Amino acid sequence: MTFDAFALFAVILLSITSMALLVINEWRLSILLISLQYVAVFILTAINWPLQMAIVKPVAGWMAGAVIGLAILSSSESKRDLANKNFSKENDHGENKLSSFIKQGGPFHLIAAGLVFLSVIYLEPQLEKWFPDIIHLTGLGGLILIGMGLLKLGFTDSPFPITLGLLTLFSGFEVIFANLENSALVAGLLAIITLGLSLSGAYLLLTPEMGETK
Amino acid sequence: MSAAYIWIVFPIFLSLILGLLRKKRLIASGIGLSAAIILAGLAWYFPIGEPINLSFIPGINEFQINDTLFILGRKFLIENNFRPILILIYFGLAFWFGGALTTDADPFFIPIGLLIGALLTSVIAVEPFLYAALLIEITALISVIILTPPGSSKYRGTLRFIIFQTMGMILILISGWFLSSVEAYLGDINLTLRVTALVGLGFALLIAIFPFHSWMPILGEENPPYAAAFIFFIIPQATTLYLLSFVTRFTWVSTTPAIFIALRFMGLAMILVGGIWAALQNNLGRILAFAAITEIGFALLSLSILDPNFSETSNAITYNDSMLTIFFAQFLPKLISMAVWALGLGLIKSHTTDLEFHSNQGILFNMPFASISVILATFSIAGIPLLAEFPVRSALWSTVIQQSTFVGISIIIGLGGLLIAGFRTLALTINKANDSNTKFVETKSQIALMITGWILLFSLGIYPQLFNPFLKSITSIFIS
Repeated sequence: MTFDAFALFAVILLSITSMALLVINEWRLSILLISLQYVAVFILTAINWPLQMAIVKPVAGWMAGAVIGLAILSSSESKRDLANKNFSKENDHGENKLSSFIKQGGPFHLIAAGLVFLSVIYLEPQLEKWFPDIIHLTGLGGLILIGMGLLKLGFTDSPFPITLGLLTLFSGFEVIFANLENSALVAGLLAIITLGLSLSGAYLLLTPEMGETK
Repeated sequence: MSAAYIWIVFPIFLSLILGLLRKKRLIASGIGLSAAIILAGLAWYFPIGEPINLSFIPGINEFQINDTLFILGRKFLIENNFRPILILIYFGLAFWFGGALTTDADPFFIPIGLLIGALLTSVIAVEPFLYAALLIEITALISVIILTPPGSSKYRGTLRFIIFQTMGMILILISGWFLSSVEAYLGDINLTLRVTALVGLGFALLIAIFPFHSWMPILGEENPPYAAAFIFFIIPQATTLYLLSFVTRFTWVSTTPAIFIALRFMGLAMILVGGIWAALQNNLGRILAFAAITEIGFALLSLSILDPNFSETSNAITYNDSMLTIFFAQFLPKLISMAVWALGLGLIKSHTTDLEFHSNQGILFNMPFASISVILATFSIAGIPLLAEFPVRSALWSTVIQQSTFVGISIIIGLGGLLIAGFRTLALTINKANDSNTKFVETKSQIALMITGWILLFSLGIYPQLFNPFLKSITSIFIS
């Protein structure tokens, strides 16, 4: 089965999910978005890798999402934070939804994302010059993910969004690296790192409460 | 049986078992410590790839440890000349584990430490060696557990550490692919510059080169000092070994003088930043972090003397294993100095609220052995005569001064900063507040361990010739 025909769809999908991850703070939606993003990563990886190896990407990615989701669910402190956020959202909803979006820096995030997209469009031909074997849309998709991941990392300092940022950044690298390397050992190690990133993020989310139960 | 089963697979499985036994801390620690000593002993006694006579065991005449293990089509190669570095890795772990027994280190420290030991061995063994970047990243991710123990909400430094390691790993893997192209098109200057920039940035992020060092002082200040010092020692050590592989395995790297100049200036920057900032800190944990930054600087500087141009200009030095010896000669003194410092600081932290100067005034009267350990280790890293790091600092200094007086003076400034930090620590520990109580809180086992550390610090400083032949033997891995 060839996945070339779905490459454009995958790039559009990951553009939407990565941009949405930047502006949406709700954790359930964020996990849904990162899971969808891994579908796009799978399509772009499957262009270069055999299907049985490429399938590792979404499996590892969804497991990563599940790990973070479970960590948030079992973290009472996070629940409290989320409850507070929901409360403030309800208030904002009563006032003005747009002003809440502006207060949370939404327009700024969108402008920054736009700049990243422009940079990616400028850089992609350069990437193809550097890596002659790279397929145009995989290069584009990989660079978008790397750019948006870096942006996400720059906007926050708490474990949950940083883990999402790292997963986005890392999946962008995986898409590009799949053009260059197709070793099974590397595929396995990359999956371990994806899971490791989510596990370390989940651990950091939960660790403040572990002491209370100790 | 393959060597990788003994020094990689077995420690990984044992670490998982010890992780489950963590609540029975003494048993888990004892097993972990014994395993590290046994693995070092096995590397010491048994050759790899040669028949071992086991006729004293009924039914077995000969036994051979093979050097290769294939996993998913890739090779893990542990040859006979790797044995000294295996001894160093597992002896080093045993030394850290011994200290962890007497401090209130996290129960996961020994299982995670053993896992890190196995991963470090894989870093050296994996072929192609570029994959080592992935293993270093896994090491960094695993270390999160010991850096931020359960109950702690101090994760700022840990998060930054993971971010930098991940970004560094990505750059190194991408540049690794480029490197093969450079070998094919040696004349293409643009390609060479591009790859050099990528490799340089990747290693800057991995080794915490200025300005990507910011996670270190945060970890030193906020996180458990014993675990932080362990990571300050292990990660740069693994990464500089990986950098050495780049230098020795790619011909164009070892013949490009610009790379060695860059290494020299990065090393100097680290020595200056580490030394001067250490002198200005008011937190004992941050001083440890800046001393570790200085150590990274010395490792880079010792790699920079492999510059082929340098050997041409200096009559006394030729490009051979003796230059690499300076790089490897730092391992053992650094291990002992950092471990003694971490032990002292870990004990101080377990009895005080934090490591700020104002919280630890007159600590010498309550914890004399821990305080002296911290001061001795600071002076050792500052290169004070008779202490562990003096011989290697002196050897490196006398080598680089032949090339540049500026480099020599910069080293003295950096070390001077560390010396000031040591004197400030000394002044702090003896400056007792009038109303404070004096209560001796150190246990006999802690005192015994710290005195052992002091003896090692002085032994390495006074008799470096006892250990140098062993450390020199590690160079054969890279020279061949």
